[in-house]
Amino acid sequence: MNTSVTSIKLVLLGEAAVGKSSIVLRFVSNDFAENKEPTIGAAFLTQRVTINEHTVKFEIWDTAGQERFASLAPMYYRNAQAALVVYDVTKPQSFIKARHWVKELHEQASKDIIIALVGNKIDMLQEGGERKVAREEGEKLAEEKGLLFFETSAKTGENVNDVFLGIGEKIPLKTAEEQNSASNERESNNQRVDLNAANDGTSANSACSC
Amino acid sequence: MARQLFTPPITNPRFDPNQSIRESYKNTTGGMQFQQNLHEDQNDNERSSCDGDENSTTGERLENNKSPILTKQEIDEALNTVTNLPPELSKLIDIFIDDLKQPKYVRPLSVLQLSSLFQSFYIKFDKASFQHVSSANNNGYYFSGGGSSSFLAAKETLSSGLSGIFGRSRSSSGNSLMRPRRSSSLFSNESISNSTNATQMLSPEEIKKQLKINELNNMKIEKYMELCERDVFKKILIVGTSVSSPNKMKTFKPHQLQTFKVGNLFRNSVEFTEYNKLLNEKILCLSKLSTMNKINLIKFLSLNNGIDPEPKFEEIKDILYEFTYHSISPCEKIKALLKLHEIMTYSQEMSNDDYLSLLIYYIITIVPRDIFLNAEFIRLFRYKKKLVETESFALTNLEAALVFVEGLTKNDFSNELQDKLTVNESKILENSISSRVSLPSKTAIMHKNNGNNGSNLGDIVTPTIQRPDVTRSNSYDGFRTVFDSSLKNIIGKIRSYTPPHPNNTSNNNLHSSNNLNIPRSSSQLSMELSNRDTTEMSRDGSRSTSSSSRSSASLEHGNREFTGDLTVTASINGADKKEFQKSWKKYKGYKFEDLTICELRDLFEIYQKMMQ
Repeated sequence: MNTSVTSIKLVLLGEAAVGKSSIVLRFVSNDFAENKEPTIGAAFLTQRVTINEHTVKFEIWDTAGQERFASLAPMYYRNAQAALVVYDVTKPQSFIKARHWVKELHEQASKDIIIALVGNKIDMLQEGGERKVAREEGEKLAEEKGLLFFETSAKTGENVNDVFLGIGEKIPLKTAEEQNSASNERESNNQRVDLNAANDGTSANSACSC
Repeated sequence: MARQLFTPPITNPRFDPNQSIRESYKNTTGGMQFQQNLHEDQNDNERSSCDGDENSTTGERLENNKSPILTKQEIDEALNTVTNLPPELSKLIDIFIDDLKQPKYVRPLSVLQLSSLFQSFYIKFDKASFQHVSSANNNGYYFSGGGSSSFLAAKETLSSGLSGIFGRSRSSSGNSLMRPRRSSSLFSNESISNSTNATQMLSPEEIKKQLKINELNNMKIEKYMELCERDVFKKILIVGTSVSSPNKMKTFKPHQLQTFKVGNLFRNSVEFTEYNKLLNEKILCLSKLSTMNKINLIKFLSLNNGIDPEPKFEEIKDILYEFTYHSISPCEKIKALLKLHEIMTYSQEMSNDDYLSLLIYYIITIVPRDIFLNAEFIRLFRYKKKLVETESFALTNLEAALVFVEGLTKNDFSNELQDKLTVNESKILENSISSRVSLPSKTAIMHKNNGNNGSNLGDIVTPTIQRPDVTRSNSYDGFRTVFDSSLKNIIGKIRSYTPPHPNNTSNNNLHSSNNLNIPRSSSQLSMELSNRDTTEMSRDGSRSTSSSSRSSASLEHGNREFTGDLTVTASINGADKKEFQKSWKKYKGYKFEDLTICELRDLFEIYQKMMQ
């Protein structure tokens, strides 16, 4: 009865008011095929997705986007397996900030963290808003940094599920690579993929002097 | 008439009931084995499920009950009866606390070392809880299995009886035409049907029931872990945090029992207490500045865009007071923290952009005392397996808020404020706290957390228990006292002993009781034996030549034997006495305190010889 479930800690980063929380709420509350009931509580959300007969449980950590809280971000993305760096396609400043987050994640986060660059609020373009960040700019940055790239609308739900599916599809490959290159450790029910497992040194220095 | 002939009654004397009973038991035994194997598989699933527990607390599980197997009523019925730990599990806590009170560490344990010990204990207790619940589950299973076995046994008996009848009927029938029809008759179908039923050990209902049991057992284990944390820290509250305090147990008043000072656990880690003191001062300072309208917190934290903190202020205040003053165990504190999060999140529509600002506002205006130590207390003493997902997120938010506050300086505010600050206020807001106090736990906690993750992986593959990073003392006052006392006692006995002088006896005393202890010459011994023989000859009247010859041979043998013994004994005694006297005189004038280990060893040897 118990199927293997991989838990993924996913952190949301981006300037304030670019739609981070809206993307997550759309993903969690949308009527998505094969989804199970979400767990809603505080700014922490969970959602399970079955991808290629493999169940992935997203543990989504939302963060405060104000500039004054930027230095606190490492506390949130520590040990994260995935990150969504969100910007608003109508605000060029938010794209500049997104570029900064990508750089910081590569420098300070887990080595193999999966990063998705997300340009949100494309629905405003149809409502007369002016696009300030060209799609090509986002694609170029994603290609240079080895990121996934999506343009979404949390309002309409466009491409929202694709973001999480894209991340989820990468995880089993990462897991397989780890299993092939590392030990014979097996994943079990609700086992979180620890991207820093190889670096964990559990040295026990407790020799008795007597 | 013919029908009666082909279907003999059960009372027919040729029917053997013993045979049917034997066959019935044989089949039943096989069924039991199959059930046992199935149970073992389920036990493995239960174990795996226990390791992969999703929800942090039982309460949360109740709130987020998504189990398709159990209803809320069933959960309530199962868990409401669990208000205390079973005695065998509670005993583990007593042993753990008593062990902590033993003076066996080189120096007082730091809070990080204590945390390591507690986490190891939690893992051990978790396993013990699983074993306890598994044992109870086995008992319940046997009862259920017994019922099933009884039913199956009855079916087998009936089936065997029918088969027996059929067999007898077939063997007793002489009509070949009738036999083929019998072989494909109702009896045959029933036999096959019964056989099929016999192999279906568990029905879907039974499987569902077993899954329910597993789920309930997992919840019980979670409940036990909560009770474990509660009881551990309640016991610490009673016995105290000092090593020597078992002899000073006190009776606390109810309001005193409710106040658990987490600071006592950090007593041996000065950095934490200093950091906490400075943070308390800074929070209080900021609160006063806000009250006196020297700073506008709402504007500073950008809460003036539709977020109103006032409606829930009193409720938040009560929760923070519960968190810092009235809760004892890490489990209780994290529950308060989760409640805080829930109220802040669902009371207003807002994203996490506003959440942190609002939390900082409440901390500064409410001024909960020692909030930093309480947060660290959860981080260090909450069972790591449970401090995941929502719990971890809530705690991280609190820690982030505190980090923000400790980093605030007067430069973060307007120039007007700096002119209004008093000397003391200016001093408090001069620097960030982290620039003044470096917490060793930052690196250590990171390492331990990573290590803990590794441990979790290890637990799944091969469960292991982390050894605490502590060293035991190589000296012990109590033992030293006992050792000193023993040595002094031995030395006292040695000093009071007077070696005896050699005692020479008269050669003429033939009947002395100490004859055998006196070294005698071979000639004397020969004389004695000769005299004895002479006396015997005289008593008998006459002796033959052969008798004299035997006597002579015997004497010769005796001489040889006794001479050797006496020689060896005399040699040992002499050497020993000389050596003893020499050794004794050697240490005669020494004081015990002046003796070295080698000299003590010599004295021990002398003492042993003396006792011999």
